[in-house]
Amino acid sequence: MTNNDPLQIVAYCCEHCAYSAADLAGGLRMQYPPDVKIVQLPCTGKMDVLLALQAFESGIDGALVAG
Amino acid sequence: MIVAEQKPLQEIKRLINEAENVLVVGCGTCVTVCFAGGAREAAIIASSLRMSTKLDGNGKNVSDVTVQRQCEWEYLDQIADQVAAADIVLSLGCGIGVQAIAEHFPATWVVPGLNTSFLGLPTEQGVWAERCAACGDCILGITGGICPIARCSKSLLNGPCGGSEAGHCEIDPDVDCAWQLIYNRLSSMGKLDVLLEIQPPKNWRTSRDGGPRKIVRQDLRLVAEED
Repeated sequence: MTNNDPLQIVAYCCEHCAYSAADLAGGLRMQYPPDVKIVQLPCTGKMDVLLALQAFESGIDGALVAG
Repeated sequence: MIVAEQKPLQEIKRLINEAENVLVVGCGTCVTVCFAGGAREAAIIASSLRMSTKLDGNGKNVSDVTVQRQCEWEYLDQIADQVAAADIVLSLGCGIGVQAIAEHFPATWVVPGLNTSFLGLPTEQGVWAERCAACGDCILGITGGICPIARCSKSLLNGPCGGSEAGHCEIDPDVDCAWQLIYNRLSSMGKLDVLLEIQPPKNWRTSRDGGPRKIVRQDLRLVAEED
């Protein structure tokens, strides 16, 4: 990627709160950058070092854990 | 269980420096339950090595596999093809697992990813403590089930020593005095008379002092393997 490319972010979202909020935002036709990829987790307690490593290995710039 | 902990990533990188194709081998038994070398840790180490070596400019092909036990030939047979394809094997087993791979695959260079620490148990989540020194001549029957060989800093047979302070060892106030623990337990069970018998010097030939140890069970051997 070049310096002008948008940052690729993976958002790990708890399905009970953050994911529901993103879902609601979609229902309300609110916009958010397409460079943010949402991964639904059953709980952010499911978040694991390995998940983040795999994401970084595949080229993302940052990880957001929301829950 | 055998308790181990991972070596620092920098040390592991030095150990595999010459290789291009690295196979990380986890072990599904002791080091899995002490979170040092199971399938998850093998995947994390493999991913970390791929990214770290890539950032260093000499990216390596690192894959991982985990067997149920590295210390048995039958389980090692299952990964023979993967081992043959690797330049180096990074074993996340205990020292026994590393040596088993070296012995079973004589043409393979194998290096350890863990430091094997001791025989112990988890006293609480995230905390492991030594309990057995594998001395080969168990005396737990006369010490209330508390081992002074493994847990007394001096491995005394007739303790405590003068360094026992308020139930703690003089080497570290966070270390319990094993002989205080033994006294407390025997006292609570009404068996303090056990301590009246002075123990003679221990025969250490059953421990490491007698050289490498081996057990042969003729009742379990296969006829074809008998000498």
